[in-house]
Amino acid sequence: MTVQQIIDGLINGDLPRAIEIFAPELILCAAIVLLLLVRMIFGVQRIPACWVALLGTLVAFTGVFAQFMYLKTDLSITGVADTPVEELAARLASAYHLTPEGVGSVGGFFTDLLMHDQFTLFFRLGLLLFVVLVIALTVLTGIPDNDDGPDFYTLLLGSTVGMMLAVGANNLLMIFLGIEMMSVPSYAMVGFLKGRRQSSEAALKYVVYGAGAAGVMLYGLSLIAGILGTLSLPELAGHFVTVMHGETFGPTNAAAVTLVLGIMMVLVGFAFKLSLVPFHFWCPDAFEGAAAEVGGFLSVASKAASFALLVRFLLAFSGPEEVLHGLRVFLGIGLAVIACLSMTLGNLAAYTQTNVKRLLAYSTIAHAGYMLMAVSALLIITDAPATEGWTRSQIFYQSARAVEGLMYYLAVYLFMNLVAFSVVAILRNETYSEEIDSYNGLVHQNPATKLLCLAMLMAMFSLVGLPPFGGFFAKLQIFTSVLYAADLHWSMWVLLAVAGANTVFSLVYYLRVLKAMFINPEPEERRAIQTPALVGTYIALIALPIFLLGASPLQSDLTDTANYVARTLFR
Amino acid sequence: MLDLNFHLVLAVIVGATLILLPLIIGKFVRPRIPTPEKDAVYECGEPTIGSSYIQFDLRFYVVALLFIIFDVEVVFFFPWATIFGGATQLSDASLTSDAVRMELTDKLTNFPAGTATAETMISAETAQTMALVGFADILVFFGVLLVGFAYVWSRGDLDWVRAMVAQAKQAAPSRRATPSLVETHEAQPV
Amino acid sequence: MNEIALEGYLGIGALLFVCGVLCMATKRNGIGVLMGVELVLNGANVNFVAFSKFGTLGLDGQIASMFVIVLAAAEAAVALAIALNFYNNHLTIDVDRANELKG
Repeated sequence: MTVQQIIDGLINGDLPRAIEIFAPELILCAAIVLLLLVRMIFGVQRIPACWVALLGTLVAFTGVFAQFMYLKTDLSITGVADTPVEELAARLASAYHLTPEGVGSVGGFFTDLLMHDQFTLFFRLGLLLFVVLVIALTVLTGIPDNDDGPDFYTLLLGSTVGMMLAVGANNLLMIFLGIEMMSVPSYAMVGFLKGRRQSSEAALKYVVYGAGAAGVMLYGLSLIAGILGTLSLPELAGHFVTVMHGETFGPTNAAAVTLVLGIMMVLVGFAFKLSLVPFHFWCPDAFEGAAAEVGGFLSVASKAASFALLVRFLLAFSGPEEVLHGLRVFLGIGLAVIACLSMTLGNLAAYTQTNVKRLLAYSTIAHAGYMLMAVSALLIITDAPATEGWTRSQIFYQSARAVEGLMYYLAVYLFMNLVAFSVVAILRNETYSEEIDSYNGLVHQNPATKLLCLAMLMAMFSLVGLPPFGGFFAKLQIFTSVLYAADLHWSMWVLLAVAGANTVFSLVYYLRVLKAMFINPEPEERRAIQTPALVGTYIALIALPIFLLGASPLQSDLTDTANYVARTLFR
Repeated sequence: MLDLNFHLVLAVIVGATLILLPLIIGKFVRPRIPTPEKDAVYECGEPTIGSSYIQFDLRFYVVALLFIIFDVEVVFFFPWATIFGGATQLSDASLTSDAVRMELTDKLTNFPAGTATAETMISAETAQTMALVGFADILVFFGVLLVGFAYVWSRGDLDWVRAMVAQAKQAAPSRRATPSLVETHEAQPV
Repeated sequence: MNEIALEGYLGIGALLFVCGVLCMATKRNGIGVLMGVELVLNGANVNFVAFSKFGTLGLDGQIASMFVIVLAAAEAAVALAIALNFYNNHLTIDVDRANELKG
């Protein structure tokens, strides 16, 4: 960079554009400060913290929505809206003063520390939607209580800001900052139920493992930064090619070995966040000890953000050069092995569980394995050399399909897991138990429990991947990508076989929960379960998308959107 | 160079020997007649009170935790101070010499001396904007820190003697009690 | 005196990293594990600063280490608070005694 560029970046052009793009995050930060101020000035009785948090996230959500639609529908160019949704987006865009030079121009901002593109926006949108739903759930279930509200929502929003930074990271330092900013508040959130022995134990385990993984990850980042001489993600591939001096990628080359070591250390950090085997030990304990609401938040939001970050980090090593291809195939196979282990171990361990939250935690581990398959296939496919017999357009199309599959899976996964954890949270408030046995015969009690059981049924069937639910199409897309990747590398056949076997096997333990709810007889002495109408509406509202994403026009809508977003990554 | 290392090693060896030698000689020569009085921990000639392995008051830790957070944030003031200082210097309109201006520009942008030219050097107006933006940045940063500090203060985490009664009075019953979680929820010192 | 080369700094960084990892793996005391983490983070910090002095990383490396220092402090504060909470409930900070959750 020249002097002029830095000066321009610092004050002239970059700052107004950066603030325009970064506005949703700034709104969240303002909401955090407001939460603290409101408590200090008015106290928690007059203005409950949840409303401040909900308002802040809703405003931020509309902001990101306007930004996403602004780019997607080319409102910046045409300014004409066709459908009601586009009409709404156009109104929002003008309300937020979005400009073609600001949000309309894709590229790095804040001196290229962060990336502004459709991929980032898609994940920011999904994250904020999820956080809005989680806050609504906490309002309904009454965790946290009024007195602890400001602290809890401060942590929740802080973690969300970290995730939004992470999905936009365009710099090795931002990767670490993002991962840490989303982890540190979540440690505290896991231990939030004060005075509960299990909660404090879960938090201690989580923080000890998490801090260790973060340390290893940072050391890996420092190795990568040192060997390649840059922190900027887009420059990594070019610098690596230069450093290799035209030598082939292999274990005898010092630069290659150091870089692979660094990348593997970084992947340790990612594996921890994604709860992949062998860094999954914290996950069941943290989920069992934490409130179900927090478990739901961690299982979806931090996974989605980490997957977005992982894709962006690994795509930094895309390029037609032979050394880069060697590196990608090596990493792709490594990730395939981890994916196989995670799926198998997650599903096997889930089989013996009696606690629903623990079972869901192991199911989370298994699903992280399924989703990692898409990343693995992506690495094999991206920029595969012409000698493999694929045309450029074929490679482009299939790479985009792999990312699209991951995004679709995450979108469906958001609703599946949210429904499952919400049902657990609601039943906990009524039965004071999270054991599978306590769900015996729930379906026979009253219409409200019938609704809960039906929602759980949809979530579980979708988690297994049965049609017509969204989970089926999500799995289908990822499996198809791996099938195409198998054309390029034989190891993908193994991955596909393991994943297929796991899918069938996972049916067993999900059915155990459903059997308790639907088939087992109802115990004699159960107190009546009452769920307010609002809770029922909420559950119905979040369970509906599971079905809609599988068997309605919404499915093709989301596929198209995901495809459009994924294509922009490979321009 | 070698001399220096050699001297250092020699000094360490001699020093260690001179300390260890009397101790070893003493160990072999002295008579061994232990009494309870002799084995007791020395505490200014007074009889000792309890074990020294006691837990410190938890309040020390709380204050230490708060201190470390607010203390470390100050590190961000250092890079800011260099930029702000350089920009303020450049924003001085009476600084008319181009040579000085170019030198200061290089210092501010951390490029080797002689990189900036008459075209790329920072003008007084640009530097003024830069300084003002930097000032606004630090005000926001410090403002957020102050809000955090005020929050901690108003919650009473900084009070050494925390009025537990007053706090208990403040804590109103929650909207919808979740008994399984509330039953073990007792007042914590932290 | 001789100028210390990049290898020297990287050696210190690697030593700190290995010590930290060993500390994390062997300590049973929760606070001891956190001390290991601090060692690892500081090993990475030494790397960053060394690379910024000798490599093409420039000021980026020093800024990175500064952010790491602040994050390490934040993480340590949260971790210590959690360890205190654990102590209040269990009257120990032995991580091996954290064994109520399993399966």
